[in-house]
Amino acid sequence: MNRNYGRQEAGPRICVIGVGSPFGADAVGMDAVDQLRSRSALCGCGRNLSFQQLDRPGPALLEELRDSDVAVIIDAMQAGLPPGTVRCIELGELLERPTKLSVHDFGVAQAVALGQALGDLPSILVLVGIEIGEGHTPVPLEVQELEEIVDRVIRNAADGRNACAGVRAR
Amino acid sequence: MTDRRRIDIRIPLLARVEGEGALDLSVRDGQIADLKLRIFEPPRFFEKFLEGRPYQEVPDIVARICGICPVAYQMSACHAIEQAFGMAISPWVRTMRRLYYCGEWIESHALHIHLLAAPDFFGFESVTRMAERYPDEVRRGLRLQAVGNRIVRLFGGRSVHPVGARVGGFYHAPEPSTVAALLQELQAALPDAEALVRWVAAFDVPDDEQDFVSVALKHSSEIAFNEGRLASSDGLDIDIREYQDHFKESQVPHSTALYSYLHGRPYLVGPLARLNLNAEQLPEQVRDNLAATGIRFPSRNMFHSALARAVEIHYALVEAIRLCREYEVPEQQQPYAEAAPRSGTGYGCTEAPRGILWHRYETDEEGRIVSAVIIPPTSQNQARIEEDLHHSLQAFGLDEPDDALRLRGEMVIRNYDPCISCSVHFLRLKVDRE
Repeated sequence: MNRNYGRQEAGPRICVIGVGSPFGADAVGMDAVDQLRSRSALCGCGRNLSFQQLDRPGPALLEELRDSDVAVIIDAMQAGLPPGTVRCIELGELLERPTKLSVHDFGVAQAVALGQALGDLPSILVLVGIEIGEGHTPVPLEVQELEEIVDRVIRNAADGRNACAGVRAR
Repeated sequence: MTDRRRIDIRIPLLARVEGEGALDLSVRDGQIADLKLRIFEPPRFFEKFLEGRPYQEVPDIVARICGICPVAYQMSACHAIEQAFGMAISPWVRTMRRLYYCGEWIESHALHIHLLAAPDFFGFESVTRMAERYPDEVRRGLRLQAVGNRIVRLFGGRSVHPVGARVGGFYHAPEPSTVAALLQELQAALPDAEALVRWVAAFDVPDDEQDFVSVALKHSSEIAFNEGRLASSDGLDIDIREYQDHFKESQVPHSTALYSYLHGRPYLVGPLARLNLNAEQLPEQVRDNLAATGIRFPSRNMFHSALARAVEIHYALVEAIRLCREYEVPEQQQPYAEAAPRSGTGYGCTEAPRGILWHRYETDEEGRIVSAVIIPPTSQNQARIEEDLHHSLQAFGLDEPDDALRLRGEMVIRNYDPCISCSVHFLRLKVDRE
């Protein structure tokens, strides 16, 4: 299911995309968007902000990024960190990751790499990864923390700073 | 999607080998003495999981066997269960299931052509590298894939592991306004599909003809998706219920996979097999566009498989346009027929993007699954792939460096678009030369 929650007033077009699966721990990206869309600190300040939830989009992620100037992608990650840890990953770091291509495993990193090669990415793109550990159980979301991170990324983009600048890692 | 349809079992990833295949070659005096290939595990765990499950859960469970062809699994399963229950589906459901399948053919083939096949023919290691030189072509492929996804989402709610199909029909009927909007997108995509056929036809492919038997569904009045008889280029013409009387699986010692044989011979399923048997049923505009390339079907060159996929994208788009133009909401209030479960045995055989996908279910009086047999196209193609590798690597030259042999082996396997071929370098090659 892909649910677009609509746009607000003019300005840079900001898209917050929760990516994952509707089932299990991999739903954390989609669950995050569910929580964030009602947070007034993010949505109430005249931003041209939209939210989407994408179920394992593969290369189709690029279609959804097409209309954005700033994209924040929220996804589950497995980085060996304590479950629930949130990391803000800039585009450059994301592109350094191994990109073994598999149509069954065409994840965010692979889609972003392809978008970079095509020159079709938003000018600002950030991955907010939420550690899910072994992935056996859903991870509780720290919504306040997520809201602050996404808000910080959007402000950094507006001020011309590195997107993840000032984002404190827990 | 509602919570009551949530699946409460974990399906392990072990059910399908992904990421690696293994090929062992023994070469003696410049000839292949032995060739052993292992590239695919059949979904045996899914067959076991289904036992005891209520029939309503089967479409959702089997849809998760393959992330690229969930529609095919749902369609084969639904038809089999409906047959077991003696259910008829309405003309609306029959038509909409064709539209649903069009979306999957377009989406799966577009992904395969651009992410897997094309980089080989242009000498790139990946689509990402190819996109730097051919961005317009890659973007065209992504546009076509997106169109296919949108067709599937029309019914399925989401394009990966869709949930919209159910025994008897679909959970929801699309609104006419939604279908009208989709129709406009489909019509806008036609030039892309036509151009794709011309682009793929111009790939520099090896001139390599082989002898093989093509097997596909054949319907008297349409390109077959969900219904038809099983036909072969050797004259086979049987009801799908007779599949196991003619097609036999056997265990090979070097692999846990089962190899399929038709009357003792390997056989081919998939787009090339379908066009080899059914090309004359293509609509005129699709036939004319293909004819302009100068390449004809039936073809005995497996490297024409990518072109067959491109032609099927064009066909599926034309067919989807026709079905959307004629769309009407179902006469009945609900877009599905109610099932009256009973004990029985039912069969379903539909044309997945990779070839015929055959299901057989036995149900009890409450409609629970007693036994399930699922024979995917990739499983059926394994014997043919091994036969092809034997021929192709011998013809390529066994004195070639191992890296070159491995790449040619991967290209040969990729013609069949098996689930394993989704890795760029998926083959572990071991050559023992004397």
